Amino acid sequence: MIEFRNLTKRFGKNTVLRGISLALSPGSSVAILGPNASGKTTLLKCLLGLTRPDEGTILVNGVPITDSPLYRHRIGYMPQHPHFPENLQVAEVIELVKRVRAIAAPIEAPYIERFRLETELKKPIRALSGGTRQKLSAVLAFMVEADIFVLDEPTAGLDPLALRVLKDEIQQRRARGCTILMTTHTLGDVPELCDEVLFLLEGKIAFRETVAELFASTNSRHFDEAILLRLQQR
Amino acid sequence: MTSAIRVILDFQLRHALRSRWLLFYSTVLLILTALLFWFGGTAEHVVISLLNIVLLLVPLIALLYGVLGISQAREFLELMLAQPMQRYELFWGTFIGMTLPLTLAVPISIGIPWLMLIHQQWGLYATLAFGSALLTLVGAGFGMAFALWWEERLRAVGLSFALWFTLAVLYDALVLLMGVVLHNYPVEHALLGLMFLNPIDLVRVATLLQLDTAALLGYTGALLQKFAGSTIGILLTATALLLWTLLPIILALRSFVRKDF
Repeated sequence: MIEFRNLTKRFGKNTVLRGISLALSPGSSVAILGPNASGKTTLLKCLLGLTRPDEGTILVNGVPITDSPLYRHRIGYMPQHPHFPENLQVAEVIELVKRVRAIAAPIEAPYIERFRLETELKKPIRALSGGTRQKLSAVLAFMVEADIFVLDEPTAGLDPLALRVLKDEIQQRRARGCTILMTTHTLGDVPELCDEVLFLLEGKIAFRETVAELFASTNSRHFDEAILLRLQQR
Repeated sequence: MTSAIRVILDFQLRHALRSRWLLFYSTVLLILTALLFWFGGTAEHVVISLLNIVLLLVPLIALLYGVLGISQAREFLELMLAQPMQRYELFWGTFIGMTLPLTLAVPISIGIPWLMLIHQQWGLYATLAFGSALLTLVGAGFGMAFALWWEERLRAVGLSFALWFTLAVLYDALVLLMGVVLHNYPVEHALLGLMFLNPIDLVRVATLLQLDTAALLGYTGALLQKFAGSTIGILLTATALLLWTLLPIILALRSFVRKDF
């Protein structure tokens, strides 16, 4: 269970999150949508402990996240802009994350195969394309034994084949009862990957509905159209 | 040292030691030192030439290295902060891993030609090597702190240049001006006090005092030579250098622990 309680975050005079309260039960798969600067990434960064809220608390399984960083053992994270030390090899970056998490088993092998990174393992990061870096980011997020996945624009820059693999990984995690929190600007991906939509507008929750409710309430067959109609109904 | 610090340190060291830029910097210093020994003659002559290079170059390179090291790694630091470790662990692993190779670059680059070409006056070498290492730590620490304060890289680089220019160039001009304009007043103690506000000047004086060449000292250095002969002078100089080394590291650590990434 993840709970955001009255979360407010300001950057200088700019209030990015305005009293967000939200509870996500285990197994939720939520697409966090909204225009640019609506607070999507900040909300995820607050959950990860990268950004400290000015007011409010976040609890994971009833424990405030400020108590200890150990709750992050349960989180797999794909950042919006994956960036790794340019002089390290792909295999070394994977080894780094494993060692930080004290994982000795070769858990990465199936993911390397699925994302077709076998031939890239000995290459330095500086030699990789943006898409390959995104694949590495996916391997790092999914190889760990997590039950919460925080995915910030995970499909950006992936080729169609890698995109299919990523979507399959997300689907498998949903089937296992993992919690998925995902931001995306590719609205077409949402019905396939998420059960719920959380729409943020100027740091507040504009609406939170299941995908099925959204289609039903707007009487629309297209997800992007449904979102627009739902916003007009407010 | 916690296991997380050791892991981060290990990978930061691998990353830094493969840096072509670090290799270039070390090679240039090594060739320069070898040429100075080849053509310059005695260790004392070479140290005076090297000292000017070290005092100008090392702080500037270290400042830029600190700024770029953090600003280029910002997204990677975010990924690491999303792992189960404390912020201070990531800071120390990153700071030591980034700065250790650069800190050792000058002593090694100067040390190899020193060992091969003159292999004597090791006390002088130790002072120069230690001074350059301290200036590297001071510069890299401030650079990292600036990059943590301002996400805009250009602003952090600009402030680094401003700090370097103030300490390496403007300060000497200011002290000289004070000495000339206020020569009828007893300003010696004030000038001595000013020296402790500049780590570059402290390293310069500490090194030149080993040479016993008062004529080559700057105005501020000449004043300190009288003062630094005493035990209290040596202690104060060492304390000031230590504080100058710790200050930027503490600022960077504090900023890193509190920062919103």
